[in-house]
Amino acid sequence: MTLSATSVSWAAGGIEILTDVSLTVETGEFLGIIGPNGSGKTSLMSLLAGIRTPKSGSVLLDGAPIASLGRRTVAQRLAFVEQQSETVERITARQAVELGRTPYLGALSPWSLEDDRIVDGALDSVDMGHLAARSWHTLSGGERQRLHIARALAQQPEILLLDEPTNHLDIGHQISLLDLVHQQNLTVIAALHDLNHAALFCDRIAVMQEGRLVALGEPRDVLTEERIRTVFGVDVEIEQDDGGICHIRFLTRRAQRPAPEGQRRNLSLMGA
Amino acid sequence: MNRAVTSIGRTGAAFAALVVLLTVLWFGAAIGETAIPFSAVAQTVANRLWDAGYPLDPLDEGIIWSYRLSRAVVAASCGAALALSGAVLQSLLRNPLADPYILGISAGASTGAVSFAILGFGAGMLTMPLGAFFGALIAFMLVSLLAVKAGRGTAAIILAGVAGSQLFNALTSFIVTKAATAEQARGIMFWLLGNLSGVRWPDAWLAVPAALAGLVICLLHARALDAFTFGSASAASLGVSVRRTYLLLVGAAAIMTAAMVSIVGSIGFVGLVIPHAARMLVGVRHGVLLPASALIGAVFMIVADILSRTLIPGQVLPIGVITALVGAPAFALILSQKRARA
Repeated sequence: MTLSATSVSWAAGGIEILTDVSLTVETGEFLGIIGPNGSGKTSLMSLLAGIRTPKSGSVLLDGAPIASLGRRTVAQRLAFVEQQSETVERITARQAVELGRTPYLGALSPWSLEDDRIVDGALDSVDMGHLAARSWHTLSGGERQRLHIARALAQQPEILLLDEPTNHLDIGHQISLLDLVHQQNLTVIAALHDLNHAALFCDRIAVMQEGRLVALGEPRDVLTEERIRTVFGVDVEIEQDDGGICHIRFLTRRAQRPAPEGQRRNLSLMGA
Repeated sequence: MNRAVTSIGRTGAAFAALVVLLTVLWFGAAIGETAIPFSAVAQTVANRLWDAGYPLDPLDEGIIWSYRLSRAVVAASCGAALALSGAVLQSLLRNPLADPYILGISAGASTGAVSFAILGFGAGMLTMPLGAFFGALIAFMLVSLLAVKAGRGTAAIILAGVAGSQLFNALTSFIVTKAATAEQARGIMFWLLGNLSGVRWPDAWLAVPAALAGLVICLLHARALDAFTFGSASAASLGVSVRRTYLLLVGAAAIMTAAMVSIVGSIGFVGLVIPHAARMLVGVRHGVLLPASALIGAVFMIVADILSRTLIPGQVLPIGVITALVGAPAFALILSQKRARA
């Protein structure tokens, strides 16, 4: 199962948001998409998920344009977890996950024991089985995010698209969630904010800048001091550990500039 | 916990619902200004449906069959249809305050029905329903457009609905004042308040199929509606074709509302309050919520109709008065709860 975008562009309200992006996701890989706010990560994700139709170019799932496949067919192969999705309905944790079976259930086909088994499995794999009966509104942000992932897993997809899945989570949950996703043996495409997480979990990284794909490759090739400076506007130092994993250290102005100089600058500002 | 519902449980629930509905219909036919024994209702139905030949006062039989029973059947259809429309709109728009009345769909349907009736488009029996349908659709499109322009939020949709209602009510008054004869105007004004007084069996032949068809269409999309729990993008990624579902279900809500408005005028708050009551009783799953809303709506309207006929001796209150007396406080309650949560 391969998913690829061939020179897709997308615009909203007359403003071009994505320009001529092409990439192919290999089966079984963990592909990270990084880039500053507004660089088009979320738009690219929703094009890849087939939720939006590109203005030009096309998204292909196993060689067929995703727009030509039925929504149900797509949903059985590919699951998408949005950046933030909330509800005012008083549902339980389990009910949120049960929605993942929607692509397999017809209007008249009843819910089966097999569906129950799959939902139980999905809940257990995100370690939420013990909270299944809890009401959605009593759960923390991290627990809700894990349930969204469980819903995606209940879709039994081959490809999992995650748009900034670790937003609003504490560091422990961030790591365990990415770890969990990593263990699923799925093709994963995840928009990530944290560059160290991208370096740690991704097989390949795509870098977005102002709606264009500016780099695509293995973390050690993509995450260079020069590129991070030009794309994100921050100075970094990159070290590679014995396993070949990049560690990115951010050099803040405070860390870069010796203290007395900073003080002098403040004084001179005050004087002006 | 929501496990697979067995087919026996389902059949049992459907049977129980039918029993409840028939019982309440029975009450609707028995209670009124002229006291008629409950047994007479059963005998009348038997006489009319199976030629049973029970000896009854023809006057009583006439009151039960032609006046009260037809009225109760239309009230039930109307309550079911409005409650279904409300449940569907609330889920699709993800807005607990959505209902055909508040979104201006009822007002649009009134305008459409009145203009078709007075200006003389359409043909015969279907003139008002047809006009009501076009009016309902135009109103919904206008209100949606306004809501999108105003920023899509909960408040935006409600405010757009208020604006739409005012506009269409004004249009209705304008058309009535300008074009109707004095006699037409009196009839229309009476109908606009929401009234079951003139209802007879031919009205039931429109109301019952409209409500049943609406129920079937909505039930076939129960899972799709569930999938809207986390919004339309989430529904799309769960394999629901959002646009198709949206068009079909909004269309069904508009047709149901239009059919009911063309018969009984615009009745407020049923579509808003009943789905919330149903959610409290049976939960948020649409496979159960939709039939429950329809049943509670039907029962509520029959009871409201009985009250409207009996509350003031010798007088018939417009049924809209009763539904608003129950509905307005409930609306306030939902609104204040929402605020507290936000």
